[in-house]
Amino acid sequence: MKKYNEIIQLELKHLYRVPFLETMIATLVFACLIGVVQASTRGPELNLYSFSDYNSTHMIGITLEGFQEMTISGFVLGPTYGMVFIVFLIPMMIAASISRGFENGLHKTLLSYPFSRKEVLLCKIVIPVIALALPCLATSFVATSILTPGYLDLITISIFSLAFIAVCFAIASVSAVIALLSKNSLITSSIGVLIWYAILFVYVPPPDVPLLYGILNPMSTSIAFIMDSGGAIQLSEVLLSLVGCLIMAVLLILIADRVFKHTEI
Amino acid sequence: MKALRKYEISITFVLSEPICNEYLSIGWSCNEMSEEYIISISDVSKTFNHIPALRGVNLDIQPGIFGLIGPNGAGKTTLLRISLGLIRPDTGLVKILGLDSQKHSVKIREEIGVLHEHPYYPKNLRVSEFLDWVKNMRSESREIGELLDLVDLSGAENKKIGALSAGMYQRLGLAQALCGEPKIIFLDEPTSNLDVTGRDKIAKLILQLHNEIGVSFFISSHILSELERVCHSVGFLREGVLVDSGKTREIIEKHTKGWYRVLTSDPQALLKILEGEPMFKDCSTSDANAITVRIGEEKMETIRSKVENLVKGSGILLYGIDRASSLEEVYRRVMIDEEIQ
Repeated sequence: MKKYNEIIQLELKHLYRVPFLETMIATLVFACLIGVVQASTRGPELNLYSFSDYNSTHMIGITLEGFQEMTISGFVLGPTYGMVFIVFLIPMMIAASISRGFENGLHKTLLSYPFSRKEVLLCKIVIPVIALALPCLATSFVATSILTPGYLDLITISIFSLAFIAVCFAIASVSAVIALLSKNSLITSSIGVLIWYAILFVYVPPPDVPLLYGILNPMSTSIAFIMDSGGAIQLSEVLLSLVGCLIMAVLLILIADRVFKHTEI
Repeated sequence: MKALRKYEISITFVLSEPICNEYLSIGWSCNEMSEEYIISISDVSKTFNHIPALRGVNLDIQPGIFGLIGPNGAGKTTLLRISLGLIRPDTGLVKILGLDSQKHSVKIREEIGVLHEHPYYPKNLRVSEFLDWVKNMRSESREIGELLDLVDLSGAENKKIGALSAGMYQRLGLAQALCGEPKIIFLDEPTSNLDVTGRDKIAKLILQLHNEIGVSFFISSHILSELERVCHSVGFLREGVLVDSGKTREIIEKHTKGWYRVLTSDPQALLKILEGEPMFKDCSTSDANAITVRIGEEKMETIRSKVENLVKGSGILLYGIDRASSLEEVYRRVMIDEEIQ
């Protein structure tokens, strides 16, 4: 753990120094707050327009169910707004960290010290995920708790938070593989961003969500599950997409580890 | 008489070189060396895009200061990177302190320090912050102040790394390599960015560190004068092939025996005169003020008087004759001449 701590410290001091990381986190926090405030003040119709096909029966149902639904939506909407930024911030951070390491020789320096390549790679993948995902979730949780106190559901929070973190990991691991194969920061950031904008912002309405889409975008599945009280999406489907996404991210990290092991520095 | 007086001046100059003391100290520590190999390279080959960078290199290095010599592109850095586990060889094995450099690279890096050619250190960190970070990774290490003193960087601890001069940056590289009581320090072109004074300081520092704390060095460089000054043993790498290796003085003796440098005011004219003499073989102008000749086992006095007799009345001034016994001459023999052949 000491070695991970050292690498993370260097990355935070050197690469993500003021105002880079702070600006990104501030932007994300602001986006999350807007999401929560909008959901909490404008009412449930915003959620319906955002996350499912407009359906008047459904809307009435949610309106009748009342305030609790709205609260959950607030927590969901914050990180979803944040994801708009995260989709380009994570590939950008991975590009700055992994690809740039090849370009400026930081990997060579790091691997002159007793760090294994796995430790270096894991730190570089984990830092953006933790630095960006956790503030988003925390902001949404706190803001929702303040604006609509007492209406946070543990299962919903858990499912959505896991889905959100899984997507962040998937974005980071895909970017890491691209970074290691290309060793080019421009390619890493641009391709990483384009892939995930395409995946996350193509809307596939339930209930006919293909498994692969569910794995690539568990956020969409979990939002549909949270919003849809009619049961169009089952909990098992949500869990499948969640676990699938996490497995995909882990597999990609393992691939990145193999690639990095054989990469000449 | 005029020429003779110049010989005396020349000899006096050589003896008064401060480096003599350093040679004495090298001789002392050579005797102290153990016979164990700290680095063992066996049949290492490496190809980049079908271009061979290393071809079956075999090399065993004892504790001390080793210099890997070769022109740019000879494969020096590749060999160093393989030794550090940064790249994999196509064939062969490198053992550092008895450990396989590929399988145990992390363990090896706990025991060594590295200064890469064109190293990259986080430019926004302060010198002390960076060294503190390096120090935290090592189980035992000197204090930062002591490290900075060793590399002559005292007073620069609060400077940002990005604001350091090339020489200071290089010395910082040496300081970070010294963190943690390393057994071997790998230096890749350690003085390439430095001026003469900077090179001199680094060379002295390497010797001092070896003599005081017993750390061994593996230095890759193409600056021969500096390697001759500090290295106990050397290896010559040309186009990925290890042409020769051994103790520095033995290598120099082996390749320059019978070769002399004649310092003169007119090398071209002297060359024409000496080329006609059977005693002087393989004459060539080695630089603007000297020619190199192979003479054989003659005494220096005999050679001197012979050359003086030959140039008498020609108006050519002789400034001195000395053994062409330097790594530079060995480099000419081993690298350039063999390439031409």
